Amino acid sequence: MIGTDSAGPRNAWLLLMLVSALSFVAAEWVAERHIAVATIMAIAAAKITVVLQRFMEIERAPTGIRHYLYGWTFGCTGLIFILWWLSAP
Amino acid sequence: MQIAEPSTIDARPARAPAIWIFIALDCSSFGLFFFVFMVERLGQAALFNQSAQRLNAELGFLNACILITSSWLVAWANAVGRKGNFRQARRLLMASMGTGACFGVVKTYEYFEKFKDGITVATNEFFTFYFALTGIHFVHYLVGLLLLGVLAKGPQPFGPPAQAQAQYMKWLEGGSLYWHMVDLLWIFIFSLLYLMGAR
Repeated sequence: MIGTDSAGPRNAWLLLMLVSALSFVAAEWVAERHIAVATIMAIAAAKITVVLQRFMEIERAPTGIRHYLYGWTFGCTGLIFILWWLSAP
Repeated sequence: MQIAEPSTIDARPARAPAIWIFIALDCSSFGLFFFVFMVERLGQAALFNQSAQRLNAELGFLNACILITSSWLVAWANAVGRKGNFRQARRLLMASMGTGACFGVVKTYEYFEKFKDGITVATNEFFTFYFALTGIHFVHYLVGLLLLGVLAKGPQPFGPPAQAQAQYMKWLEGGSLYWHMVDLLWIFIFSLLYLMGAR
């Protein structure tokens, strides 16, 4: 039932479920908050990249939009982590 | 002179930029929201962390899994739709809608739980952001669910038979992109509200 066309999205789905679980575990179980938050944000950026590439097929978007959305993903991730770090205990 | 066969991906037309422009603008406004949330958090990190611990991270995680699964089913529907298999595409879209509907049930339960505990938008600044961010996202989600419902009807309502399939594929791709954006935004909202201050 699952053909070659759907194998890419399916593998992406499996990967996304796995890293979502990792992110949840990091948030709940890692006592060192710097490591936990860095892991959570790195995983969020990785998940968004996977969604952009494998589900949204961003390679077919206009070049400017493609660069903008990657910039948005990594810009937001970096900024959120820096602002969290500034108020970290 | 022989001309090489284009690959499947090259053979597909580039997507209309309008939906991408919309996605970029919508992501930008959410990005601004995330930035304001983090700036507000700077001065009151302890309050934000204590408030975040009152959220149900398990339900946030469940909703992340639900949206990822629903997004995958839509991507799959797109793949089979491109091959002209609209019957399977419709089935997958209905499955995606069913899965997506679970997100609404979980989110409604979560809101109900908060109100039951006396937590409202006026409780503190964290919860103002919580209700605003998840509320705006919820409106996006409802629009997406409606789009999936229209797409699940198949190509017939999209014009006369000669053009219906081409029109339908355009809408299927645009609607799918919108639904993936709903998933993508939840990834940041989940990390920011539920996970960052989880412990």
